[in-house]
Amino acid sequence: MIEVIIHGKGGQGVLKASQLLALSAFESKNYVQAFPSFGAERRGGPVQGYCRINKKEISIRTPIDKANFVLLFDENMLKTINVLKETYPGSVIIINGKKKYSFPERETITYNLNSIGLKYLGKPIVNTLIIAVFGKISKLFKTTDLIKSLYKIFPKEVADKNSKMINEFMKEIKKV
Amino acid sequence: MVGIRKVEYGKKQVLSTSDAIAYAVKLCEPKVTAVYPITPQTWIAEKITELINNGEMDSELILVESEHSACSAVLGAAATGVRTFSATSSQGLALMNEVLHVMSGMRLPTVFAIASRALSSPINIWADHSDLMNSRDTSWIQLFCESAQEAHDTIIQAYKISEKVLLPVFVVVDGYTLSHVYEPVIIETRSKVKSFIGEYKPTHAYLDPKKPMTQGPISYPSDYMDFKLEQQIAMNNALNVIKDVNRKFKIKFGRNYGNGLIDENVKSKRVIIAMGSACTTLRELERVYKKTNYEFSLIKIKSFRPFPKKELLRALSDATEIAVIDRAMSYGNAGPLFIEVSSALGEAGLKKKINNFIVGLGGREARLKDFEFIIKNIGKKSYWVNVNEGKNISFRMV
Repeated sequence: MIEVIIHGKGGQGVLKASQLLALSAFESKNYVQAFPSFGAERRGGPVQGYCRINKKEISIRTPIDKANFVLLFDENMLKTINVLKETYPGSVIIINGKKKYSFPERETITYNLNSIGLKYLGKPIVNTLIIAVFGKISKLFKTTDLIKSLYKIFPKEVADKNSKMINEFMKEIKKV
Repeated sequence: MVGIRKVEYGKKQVLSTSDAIAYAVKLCEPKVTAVYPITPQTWIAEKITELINNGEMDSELILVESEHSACSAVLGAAATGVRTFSATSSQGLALMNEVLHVMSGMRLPTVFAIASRALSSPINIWADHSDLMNSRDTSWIQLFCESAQEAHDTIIQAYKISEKVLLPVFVVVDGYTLSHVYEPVIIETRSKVKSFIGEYKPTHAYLDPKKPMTQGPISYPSDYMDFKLEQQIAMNNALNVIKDVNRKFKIKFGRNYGNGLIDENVKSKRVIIAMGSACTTLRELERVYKKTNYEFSLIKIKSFRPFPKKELLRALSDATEIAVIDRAMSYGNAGPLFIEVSSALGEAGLKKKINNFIVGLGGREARLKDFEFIIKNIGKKSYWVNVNEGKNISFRMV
């Protein structure tokens, strides 16, 4: 079973990201269970999303303290989040940021997703992009599964813009 | 909005438990829905108001100024002989308390979805069964669910049960812990649900301008107790009705939940009894510990009211050690479920080693190590689990 923790701030679409992750993985024939951090969230305050993905039915409902993947919406959050404590050796950490990071026995991937969001959406919104990166690295679903899921939760015009952005971005990172 | 934009009826898809409940309510077509649109409210009410607003659901929506009013509005509507719905949790349910008694006393059927959450003080918004235990003696049926699918299915069952026994029903999911979880769930089709629950044709007295009458008037000592006996008889009858509806549901939809009252397959002499979302994890651990020294069997109580005493005692007949997990506390004694189980055993004259674990109050979710601690201590001392910075503190009243 794969477990994922998503860190962001209230208003950045963390809940949508975990929902999108679950829907996309379900599209590619996985069992899923996603849930947000439960609390009195405020815009700008720390928010987490969680997701389990499994080939078999998921039979536990405990909190996720340690994950195989940790996704960070903002590199500044590394100041307050202990990613080592939340991951195992071999876990993957995906960060939206400009600097490169490395953690012992963990794979770390950084993309400057803010600039992509600004280019296509006019805002530094990265929730759909980070799920696209997760899909590519984990190989748990294809970009087409994600695009299909976008239309299930966003209005058409929002889904159109996001799907264009994700497709262009995927072409770009293929070249790298 | 946090839900899905469009569901596909009759198909498995990823939805939040709250949405799964909201769509089940839509399929049951209540004529009147009354909710208080403020926290503590649930995604269930959000989704239903959205469905009514965009024309997908045809129900008279009354947005009221408090939960007391929400329950009163539902009461008034139900008294005219129509199907009704509301949703709430925590303090909202506590504020309804007075009207809950009135509604069951007037023998008005309805279904409320409750995301069970803690009560103040201290202020807390997380999962806990205290709000339901606070409503224990209101003469409402209480059905505790453990998955999005079970919640969806139980709403459909609940209307059929309620309209048969003329008692209102709570369909309960653990707040956040289950109400906010996205998982695969089949949303049923309108035609199947309609043919299962049928049109609501009230058989009891209801308000009709052509036949004016008074409902819920004063009852003197000469009559009051006789009405109350009828209520208890109705609760007793509900035991069989719940089983019957669960059985018919399985024939029609292919899914069932134990016998509708409890879900068990007791093979071990060591037993754990629990309610709500913890049952999913416990069932997995039942498999994990099979054929080890710590082997145990799970009994899930689905119907807390009426309490399935007969079924429970049958399941416990060969048990020697029993642990009861409570997500609420009856302060000054023990967990409410523990008290129920002890009382049933005492009434039957059965002596077993039984203990109580108070777990997960105010959203402090049990971790795997907490469950392991419980499994290894079945029938020993009673504990508050994971308190005072991760300790397990034993308590006893005698």
